[in-house]
Amino acid sequence: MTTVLSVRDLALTYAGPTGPVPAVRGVSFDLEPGRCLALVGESGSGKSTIARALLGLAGPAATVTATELTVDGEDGLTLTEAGWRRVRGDRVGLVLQDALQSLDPLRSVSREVAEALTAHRRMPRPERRRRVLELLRAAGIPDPEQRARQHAHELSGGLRQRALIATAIAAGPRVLIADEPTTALDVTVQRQVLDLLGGLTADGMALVLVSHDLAVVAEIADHVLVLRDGEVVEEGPPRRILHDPRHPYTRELVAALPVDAPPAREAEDRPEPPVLAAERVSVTYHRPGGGRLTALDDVSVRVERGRTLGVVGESGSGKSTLLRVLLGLQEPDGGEVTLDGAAWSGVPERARRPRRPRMQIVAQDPLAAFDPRWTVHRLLGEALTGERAALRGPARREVLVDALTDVGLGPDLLDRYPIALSGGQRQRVAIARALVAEPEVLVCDEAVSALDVLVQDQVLALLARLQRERGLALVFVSHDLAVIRQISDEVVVLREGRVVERGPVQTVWEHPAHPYSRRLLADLPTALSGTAG
Amino acid sequence: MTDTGRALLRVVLRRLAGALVVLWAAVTVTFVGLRAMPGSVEDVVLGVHANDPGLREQVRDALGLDRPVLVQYLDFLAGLARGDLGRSYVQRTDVADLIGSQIGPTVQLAVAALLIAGVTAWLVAVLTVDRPPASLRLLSAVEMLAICVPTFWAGSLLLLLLSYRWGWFPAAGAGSPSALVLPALTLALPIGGILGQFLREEVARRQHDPFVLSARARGISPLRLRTVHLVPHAAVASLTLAGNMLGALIGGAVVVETVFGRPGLGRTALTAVQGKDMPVLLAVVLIVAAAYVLVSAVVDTAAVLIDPRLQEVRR
Repeated sequence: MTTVLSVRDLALTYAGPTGPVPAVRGVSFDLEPGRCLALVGESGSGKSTIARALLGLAGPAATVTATELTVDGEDGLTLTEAGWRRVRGDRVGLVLQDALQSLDPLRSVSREVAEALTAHRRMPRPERRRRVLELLRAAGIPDPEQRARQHAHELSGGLRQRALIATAIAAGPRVLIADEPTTALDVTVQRQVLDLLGGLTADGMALVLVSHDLAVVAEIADHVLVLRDGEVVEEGPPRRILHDPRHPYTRELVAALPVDAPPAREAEDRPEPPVLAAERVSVTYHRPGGGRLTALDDVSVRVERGRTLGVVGESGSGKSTLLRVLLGLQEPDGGEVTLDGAAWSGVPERARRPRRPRMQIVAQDPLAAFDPRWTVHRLLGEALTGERAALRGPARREVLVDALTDVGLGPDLLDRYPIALSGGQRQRVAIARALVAEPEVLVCDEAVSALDVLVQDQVLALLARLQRERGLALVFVSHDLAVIRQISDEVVVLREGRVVERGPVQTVWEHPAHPYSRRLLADLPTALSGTAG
Repeated sequence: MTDTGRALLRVVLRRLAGALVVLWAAVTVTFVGLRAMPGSVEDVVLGVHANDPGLREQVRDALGLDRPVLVQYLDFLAGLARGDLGRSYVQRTDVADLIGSQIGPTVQLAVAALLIAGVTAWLVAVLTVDRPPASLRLLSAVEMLAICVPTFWAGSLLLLLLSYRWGWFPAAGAGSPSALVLPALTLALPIGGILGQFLREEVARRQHDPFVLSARARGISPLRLRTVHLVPHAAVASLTLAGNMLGALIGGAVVVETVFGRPGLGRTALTAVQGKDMPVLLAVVLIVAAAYVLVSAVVDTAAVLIDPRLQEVRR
């Protein structure tokens, strides 16, 4: 079959302050209609840069060279900006991560899709409207008449990602480039979006899938390029890459897939009083227009010293409310929470405040959880408690350097600002900040969800080590089942505010009792589902 | 009534109540402040006749000045509630008539200045997004200059060149549209400078948002990208700023109306302050406060219309 995308020796350099900085070197591939090519690598590997170059959107600071760059018959090397505009959308579509920001938040879904439709050809209004609804329906959006009028923020994560895909395929391109299209989505939604993309290739679309997640890629790709520092280190069919990785870096990537991590820790039966326990907690919200929403319904959880409780659930399952109740940020309407056996809920905040350092939180996005104008030194220093908070000068610095060393970071980071840290470094600083308060319980809210898989693996290992050394109790909330399995001793599965399943992680994985847990596990990419799949 | 209808009514009522409180507070503070100033009302009213013994009593009687201050204040509020602004002490006319004749030119001036400033700032922001840094620095310097130059000096300069030397526009008055050009331009300078800087920054910042990349990947033209995607985002942010510019507008109007010899509220207020003409001053304060309330209501409504996410935040 003829190729719709031919790339030979693609190289890309950025103009830096000290001369050109190479971002991509010697990348070649071909893509035929109905096939899916995956670009896999960590952030900084050049995968997104390549994706943008295929649309002529590498940016004014970038210089693109190649011996061939043919996009659906057009020679990308000679195309002017106006020429590229003819190609974009019409011949090649682009789907980005997180439709909440990738659709214009001020414009309705129908206007965004209509823009893509009419960017290349005039279309009378009634036909435009009909086509918009058709496209939304084709993208698997139920009730498109209503959804078309809504804005991205009014849709669920899955629906808005489908709407974004609808804009990308509106003008009928033959090539679709999807850059991390399922990142940050719940596993069930991720499955649906992958199915949608797979369906498009079955209809003859050529798909370039860019992802950091080898497991996702393996689901629908026909061919995988593994990128590192802008170069292809290995390529082949996904099955071969997963089961017989040849390059050391690919091996590292495969090893970091949570399923191949050491099996869940053996369940020890030590009847020990829980550090943190919630007994039959319920929370009800009043809707603005009247009516009630039961966010938590008779939920009991407990976690002991040195153990990890994994909390699983999709968005809307009550995970966040449970977290707020456990953290003492919200009073439950019924039931009680105890910390170290003493009442933690139903007491005045003044009584709770001196005990707050005992429980700390690591959030999903550390950049948002840090004051951007504070240095690491100040961020960590603020969290010091007791007499250590009174330390000044070199003594204070020494304590903070120790805290950084504990999480595997060097002292040189102390004077940096959060923006100057990598994602992994930031999350380590967030952990260090939680730990300088010397807590007994560490609550991790999607703490590794935004990290590359290798970094994710390192941070999980770090948490496990700190837990061993300090006897920390961990509450680990995530939508990522593979991560939960790797780190948890026990899991609870939340759905619509109720615990639908609980037990040792091994048991839940191998014999999920509730149909919902079974479905969650079935939605896992097959490379990850291990014994369950 | 539907749920949305009732919710809307509630919002409107709450806003109205808030507006009344603001107006009441504004006139009360002014009333107290003016009464605390040295000098008696009788002196102001009598002017050169201040030493005629019989007249003084007549004035006290006519204005009710012998009553306790609290009674006078309540009397004044009751007058306001009836829509009676009182009579000017100095000009011996009804304040309502006086304000009525002066408000038109000032509104013309303010609207014209805001339009000039807004349109120029928009055009500059949209047309210069992708200019090289050197020319942007030059532009920024020009804007800085527009902000910094004192209004009276800029006005005099424009008069000198465009009116006296080249005779393009009349130097004073408010009779014709061409007489509006120079004052409006003068008043627009600082406002346009601030708006321009703000808008350019906002548009430039938005350029790197993911939705811009999505839009560009659809193959749309740069002009459409700017007008349809970037400008509304910058508009939401700049609306609030433009609303707060009202203060600068009023302060500027005082100077501009004086420099160009235009009739208007600014000049009326200035004369009233100099002459301690209390009823006129109170009326001006009332109108400015009402303008603030009105503008902030319009700004808030417009912001929600452009960015529906704001509605969710407020709920």
